[in-house]
Amino acid sequence: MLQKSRKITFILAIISAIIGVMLTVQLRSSLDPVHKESRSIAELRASLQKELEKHKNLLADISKYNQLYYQYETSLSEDESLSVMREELARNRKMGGMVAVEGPGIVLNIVDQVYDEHMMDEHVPPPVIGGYTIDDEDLRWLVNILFANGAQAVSVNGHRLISTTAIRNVGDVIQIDTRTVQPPYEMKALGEPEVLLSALKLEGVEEYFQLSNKHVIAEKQDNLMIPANTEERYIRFMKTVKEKGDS
Amino acid sequence: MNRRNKFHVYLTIVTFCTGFLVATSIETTKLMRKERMNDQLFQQETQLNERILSEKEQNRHLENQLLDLQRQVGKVEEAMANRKEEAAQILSQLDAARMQAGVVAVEGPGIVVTMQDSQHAASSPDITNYIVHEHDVRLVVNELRLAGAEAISINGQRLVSNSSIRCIGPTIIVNGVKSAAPFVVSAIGDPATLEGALNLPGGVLQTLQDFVQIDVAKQSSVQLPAFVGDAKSKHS
Repeated sequence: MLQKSRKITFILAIISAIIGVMLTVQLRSSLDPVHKESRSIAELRASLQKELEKHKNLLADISKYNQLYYQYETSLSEDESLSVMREELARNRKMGGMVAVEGPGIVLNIVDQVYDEHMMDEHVPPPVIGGYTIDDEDLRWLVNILFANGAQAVSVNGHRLISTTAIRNVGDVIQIDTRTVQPPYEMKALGEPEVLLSALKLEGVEEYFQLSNKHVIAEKQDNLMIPANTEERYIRFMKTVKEKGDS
Repeated sequence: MNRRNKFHVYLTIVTFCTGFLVATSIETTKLMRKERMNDQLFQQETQLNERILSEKEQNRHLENQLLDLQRQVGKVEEAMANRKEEAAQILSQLDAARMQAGVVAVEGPGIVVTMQDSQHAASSPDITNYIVHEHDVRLVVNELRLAGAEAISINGQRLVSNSSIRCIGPTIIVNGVKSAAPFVVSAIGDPATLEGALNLPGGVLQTLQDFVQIDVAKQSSVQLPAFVGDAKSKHS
């Protein structure tokens, strides 16, 4: 009798302890849901990086202008400061794409795909009969890839692209600024050849142009000349901001 | 018997309480650990935030410094131009070249185009149709250039001769700087011509309007920032 009641007591104690634990856990988890992270650290890091990059760029620009100012101040004669000014003009014209530039880069040729008899038998995708021709967005896309991968200057069929260059379909042909360009298209891009070539592979340029029956031949060149932009440019509307704006 | 029953009741209550206590203490220590971790995260966040803020502050100072310097240089150049005919000629060319290269901030009449994902995007089965793609932005930019825009910026990034426009997810990268929607394309030029070019029947606005939210506003004065970092890019 005594043994039995003791057993009951024991069991009762354990069970109620368990119930107590369960109840508490239940209460806790329902009363107080898991905290959400407020903002991802990665995002903050990215924006910090952006600011640091800007900082670096600003410092570089400041030192450049400082140097220019110093050159003006220390030039002994009128002629000397004039030549400083001319240098500055040449530098800006170069940046604006109004001077021919040279250096290592790549040449892209977009030519019609040639299909041999025996090639047809293999597992090459069949040519699209009467397929698409290359349109303006295709060229813009390709040019954009080049610039995004560090190309300093790009020309299409000898026409240098600058900040105001428009590439557009006019009728059946593509017009770049005021000049029409005819296929085959030849693009020249100044930049790290390896980087540019691998970027072309990565973006699937070859495959993309194959759809319109075109073949892209890209090769690197150690010394590439990209001509100046020869378009007449008039400034009618914009003028330099003299005071610090609110932007 | 009665006594034993009572004893049972007491025992139940006591062990119940014990269980409660044990669970609470376990939960509390767990919570404390979590809080400490949250605290660490929070600290890290605040640190980062502080750094970003101070960096921004510094950048603002640097920007001002740069503008001051540019003004100083401008004064020297002007003084030279006043003294010598030849210098004046070079200066006017230099001013134009600087504006066209995008290394100075410019202002003038123009147009502001704001592009945003359509509100239908969430409810539509084909979402990709209703969001702004990089080629949409390029299309607008191209059309503005065609209409004679003299200078263009996207989300505060001036387009220069080797700028690219890339989209990654919902962000746009121009000149290597990322920014989020809405995409604001500002251009300086004849406002009527620029607007007209976008508004052509079958033109950009009509094509895009069905899919994305696009607003065009003519403005008598638009200010575009200078491209920063030209000293870094090596023009051989």
